[in-house]
Amino acid sequence: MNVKRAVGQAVFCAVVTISAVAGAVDTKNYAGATCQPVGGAISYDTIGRILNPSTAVVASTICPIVRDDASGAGASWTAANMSVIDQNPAQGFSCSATSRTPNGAGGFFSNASTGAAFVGTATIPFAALGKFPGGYYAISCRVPVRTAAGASSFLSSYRVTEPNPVEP
Amino acid sequence: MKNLRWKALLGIALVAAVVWGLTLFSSQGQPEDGAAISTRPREEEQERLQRELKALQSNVQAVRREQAELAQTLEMRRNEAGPPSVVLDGGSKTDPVAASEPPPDSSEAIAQVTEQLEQRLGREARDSRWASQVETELVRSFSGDTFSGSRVSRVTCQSTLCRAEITHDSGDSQETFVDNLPFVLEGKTGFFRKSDDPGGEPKTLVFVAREGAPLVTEEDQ
Repeated sequence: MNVKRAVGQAVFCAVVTISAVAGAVDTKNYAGATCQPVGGAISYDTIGRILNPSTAVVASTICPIVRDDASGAGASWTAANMSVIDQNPAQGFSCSATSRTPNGAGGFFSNASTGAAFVGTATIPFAALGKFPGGYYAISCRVPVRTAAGASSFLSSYRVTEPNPVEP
Repeated sequence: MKNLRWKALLGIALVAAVVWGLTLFSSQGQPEDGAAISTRPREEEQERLQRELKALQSNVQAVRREQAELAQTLEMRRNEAGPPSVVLDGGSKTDPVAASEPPPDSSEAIAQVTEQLEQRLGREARDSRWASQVETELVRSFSGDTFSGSRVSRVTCQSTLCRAEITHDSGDSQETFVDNLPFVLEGKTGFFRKSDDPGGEPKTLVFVAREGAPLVTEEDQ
């Protein structure tokens, strides 16, 4: 009886381990403060978010992604999204994810936005793209202006899940 | 009887004297013999060490010769490759050997994607209503103030895919176009490829997928 129980437990553990390995993914979460300004002004708050302090000019940012799987086969990611707080009822976040060749001469892109009238917290998802050997990924976003009432919109964080786990 | 006893005692004393003498003789001779035995391996050891030292010295000389030859070969290769093109901020030049691993060449991959999309577009039947509408939208999107240095040469849509050829006044116009391209195609997925003709007019080829349709299908991959 004890032997049967031990064998059963061993089989259960093996199944759980195999399932965990088979379903392993490579997810990274980035603070919004990782993004760099490329147009307009960007401010950083003390909890890792970025915001547009201007009431007149939409800010542009580029958010880098660490690519672990540098091969050229399959999809770029299984999930990629940007978490934002949009407090401008007249402008929305517009973000584009890109997967490019090493020299940037070509690539895939996917655009998504919150919509101009949206106000609130949103997660902007990006479609999976193709990829190139040794190429790079990035997400660029346009951050709405601060409202006349002083309400700023925040780019809080972003997350990318690559399909192939990389052995340490 | 008394005489016999003395004789026996004398015999015993004589035997004892002989034994003592022999013992003394052997104890005096032994160290000399032992010393003689131990000096032989010491000399052999010294000879062996000297032989090893000579071998090591010749090895060191061989390694130095090899190092000099390698340095000479490296210098020749550096001269053949020309001066390194990258100069770091501090002014020190990058080592061409260390920097010799270039990023993978993706020109073949990008040509393959372009070919797949061209073939797919060629296979699709035209959804006239959608195609006409999106063709007009794309021309309008690519003709705004943002793209002042760019002109749409040709736009073709079928049922799930569109293809546009853009000509640019300059490389800067092309960069502006490529940077802003995704933002004028809100909610869409696409692919672009800059022309690879260095002396020619800058051109960009763009493919845009219909909303909800994948850009690269599993059949393509």
